[in-house]
Amino acid sequence: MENSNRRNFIKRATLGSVGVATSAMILPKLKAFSQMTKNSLPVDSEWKSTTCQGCTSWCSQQVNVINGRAVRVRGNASSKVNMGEGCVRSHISLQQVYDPDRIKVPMKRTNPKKGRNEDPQFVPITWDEALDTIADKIMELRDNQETHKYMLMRGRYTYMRDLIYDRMTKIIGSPNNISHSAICAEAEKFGPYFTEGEWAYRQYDIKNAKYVLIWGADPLSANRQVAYYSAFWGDSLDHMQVAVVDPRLSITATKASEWLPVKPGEDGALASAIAHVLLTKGLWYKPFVGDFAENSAINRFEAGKEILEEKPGDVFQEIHTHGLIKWWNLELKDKTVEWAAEKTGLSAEQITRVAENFGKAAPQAISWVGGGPVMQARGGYASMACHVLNALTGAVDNEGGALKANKEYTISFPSPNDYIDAIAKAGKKHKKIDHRGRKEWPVLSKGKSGGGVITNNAAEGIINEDPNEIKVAIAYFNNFAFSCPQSERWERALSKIPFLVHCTTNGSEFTQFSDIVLPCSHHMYEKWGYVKSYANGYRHVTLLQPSIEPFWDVKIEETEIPWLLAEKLEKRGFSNLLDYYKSIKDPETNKAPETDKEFALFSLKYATQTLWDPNQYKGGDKFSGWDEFSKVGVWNSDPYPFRKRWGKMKTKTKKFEFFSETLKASLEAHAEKHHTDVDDILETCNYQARGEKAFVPHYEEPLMKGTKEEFPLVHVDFKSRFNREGRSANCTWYHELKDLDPGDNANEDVARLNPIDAKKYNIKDGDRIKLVSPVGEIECNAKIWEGNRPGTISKCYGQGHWAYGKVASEEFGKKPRGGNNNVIIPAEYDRLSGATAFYGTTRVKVVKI
Amino acid sequence: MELLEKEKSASLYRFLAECFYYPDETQFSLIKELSDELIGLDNKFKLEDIEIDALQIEYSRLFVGPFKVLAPLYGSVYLEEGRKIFGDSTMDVMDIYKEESLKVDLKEPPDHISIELEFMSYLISKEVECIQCGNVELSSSYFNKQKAFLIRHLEKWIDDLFEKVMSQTENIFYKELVKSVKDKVFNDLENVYSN
Repeated sequence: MENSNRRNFIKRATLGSVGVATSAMILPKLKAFSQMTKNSLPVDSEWKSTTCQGCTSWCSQQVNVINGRAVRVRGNASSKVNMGEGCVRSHISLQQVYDPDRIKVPMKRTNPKKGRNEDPQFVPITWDEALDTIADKIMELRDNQETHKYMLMRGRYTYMRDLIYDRMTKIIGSPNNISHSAICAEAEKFGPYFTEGEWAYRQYDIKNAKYVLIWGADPLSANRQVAYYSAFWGDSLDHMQVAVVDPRLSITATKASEWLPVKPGEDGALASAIAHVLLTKGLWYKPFVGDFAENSAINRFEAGKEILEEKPGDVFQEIHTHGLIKWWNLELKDKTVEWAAEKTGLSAEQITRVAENFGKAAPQAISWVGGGPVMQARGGYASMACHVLNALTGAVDNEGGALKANKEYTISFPSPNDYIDAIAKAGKKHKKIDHRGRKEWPVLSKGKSGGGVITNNAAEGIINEDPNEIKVAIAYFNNFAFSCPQSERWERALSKIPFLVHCTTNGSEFTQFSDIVLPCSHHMYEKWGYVKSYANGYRHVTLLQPSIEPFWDVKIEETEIPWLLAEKLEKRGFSNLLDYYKSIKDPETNKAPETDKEFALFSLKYATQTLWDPNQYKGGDKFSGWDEFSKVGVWNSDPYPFRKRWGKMKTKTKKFEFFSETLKASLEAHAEKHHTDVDDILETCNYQARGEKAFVPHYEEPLMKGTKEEFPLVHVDFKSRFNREGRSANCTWYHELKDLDPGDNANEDVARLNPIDAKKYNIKDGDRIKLVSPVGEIECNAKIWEGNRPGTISKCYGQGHWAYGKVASEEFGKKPRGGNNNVIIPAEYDRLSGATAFYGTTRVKVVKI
Repeated sequence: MELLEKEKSASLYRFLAECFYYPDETQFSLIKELSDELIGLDNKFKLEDIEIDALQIEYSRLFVGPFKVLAPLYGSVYLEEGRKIFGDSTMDVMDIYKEESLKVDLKEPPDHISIELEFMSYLISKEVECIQCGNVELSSSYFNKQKAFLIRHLEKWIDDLFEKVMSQTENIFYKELVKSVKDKVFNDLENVYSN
């Protein structure tokens, strides 16, 4: 309503009898309301297809919308990946989308001082003001030819990400698009890449498996495809044994045949010993690996005995693998069960039993590698050591084995090259803020020196202005000030950035340091996008679609916001970004987008055209067009082609490499770049291997902060089945149901100690305690629990927010609710993959409060 | 109640609704002007001595966030378990609006206090309109709807909002505002809608 009209109405209604007497026919114009027409009536009840991103399973889901309100969710039965299943996280999303603490409008900081204890004094502003301010800051960088001082930080994403993360950053002209990947699970990809050429996670064929050996993963709770595995685990237990290697009794461990409560960081020792058993007892899978040559004098592996070959194949003739004898000689021959028992704290009997049963189940014997053993300093080698067992059992690419992703056909967005001008080109040439590729940071993603990201080290780059200062930064769907170990470094880093924009659904610790905060759509209910994931021998591409009308002034961070920003840049004489975005047309009409909303939809249709357009069909499910695809919400690939990669792997030798020629080439290239040798690189990066050992899966001792004397317990971090990554803490259900994480209590944040340790340190159940590490301390309650290996203290990640909303924190900015593990975990890395270490990384002491 | 009183009442509900919007410059001047003109307001409720910047920061802190909304302006947060918006009570409000062929046109949940207060103002204005047209039956129906809406919604949570604001701020404007709303609702229930 126009203000003058409103004013007139109230004046007439209140000021004296003349006005009142004659104003009888004057009705107020409506401000909050409009008259309803038949068309504006919401449909009574319907199910709309979308996707849950509460964890990295990315299950296809459906939302029941009644009278415009989302009231329940269910798995999308059309998905062959999650098979109509869901998990608790998808339900928690209802509390997230209807959280009264969500950010409702764009806001700006009015207190220029930054710090945890400074109230930013945010006030609402219009989208126009917010975007004008951001565009001015970017133009200032461009005018001064310092676009490399612009940075984009990405947390969780959909595959629309490239529009903001890659294309926008490049067209503005910065090398600094920093993703969250290295705080996710990059080291998990390291083992598969340097043995079978796949920089990716795996899917596991539990329908056909006979034995599943799980390393630091809890597929019934976290990790990937939780809904699928949870639904079918019970059936699979009829034909498969499960052994779980984990210092704490995980949910999966509670349903396993064997729990191996390994000493943190010693997984590599166990893996090498299991390989040793498989070889010495002749349990390797010969159709994949091969066998001793018929005329060879040596016909078995004997502990402690090197096997000499004059030339490869003299003694052992490999089929689809490469370097078995070298691996045996360099690593395995002395890695006996007894040796491993001492290292791991497990009994020799249990190691032998597990190894033998595992080997006997070949080739349907899976070695399932999760984050636990690998997201550690030196974890890249543990990743190789655990993953390589899949080759010994012939499970690689095989029925009942460890599989890669099926093929899918989504389309990359067009190249931005024609839109990158001279200023941007010059800006892009600068070095990245996370230091990747430096001598001490090989980060060999996909084999390339500096090929990946070191998310957590970007904080150091920002703080030290190395290689340059960051003046303008935009971040989305992330909270590095909470989710990165030694998180206080991010508080300093973010305080230092003069202009920081945070695109987010909830005001978090990261937001505290921002200058502008932009309210974002909830991914499951309010956003266009797509993601891909795989399980059950299929891959699906599942759509994120708006199922409800947003009730606050939110926008989609990966499409609508960059479009609106591009419009503002165009008004300031820089049209390249908008021109680029306009080149992504609606495949159905060939119409270029004219609004942010059109851009969000057209770009999604563009990226998925080959899936829904019958004229572009390439495989998998077939649709009649976009409308049908949108209604179904998910495309499924063709079934998995087993054993197709045997002998055709993307390694240097095309074989599965026990001796990794691929890693050798990568490390040598990195060393050459820095005019040194591989041994020097390994020493610089804190690895123990020297010589050729660096190229085979092998055991490295854990690198832990803190002495045993001062910090007697090893900290064990784990993830909750309720965590929608780190975004559940403001949901009451999360806290009320927290005791469904075994060992945890409802409405509490607890650190769990074995009764032996509790007695030793005089801690009682329920005691208020501090966990103190060499880098920080947190408060929580003590829980005495047998499901913890003695000598360790385990605590779930997810609580300890001092921001994020009323439920999440005790007192905003001052008192967190519970303790954030990342406060006590030091910033440490597996430098070969760039992965941040979360596990087996620090020792702690317990102090009673 | 006299017709004039009813018009005043509609105006007051509408004015109170306006006061719960974010005080940007336009809104600030509007509220200031209206509060000067509106009959029956206490001096404390005026904005003369209040700096707009301070009011904006305080409004954001209490009602918007971004970190923790100290005094949410949504009925469902007070009426339902689980601290949520868009609860069953919100749907009830929507149904009531729908009966009047109204839909919410703001980027806010339908049980936002401004919307509920404006709705009261609307119902009273409709009653006035009917009285002036001589449609006694319809006017009486609008009167009953006002009463029902107050009882089903505003009465049930206005006191909780009042308590939250009073305990979370020293800002005189917002303290007086919630006090005025509470007084208005409870006075009306006792004096106007008691039969």
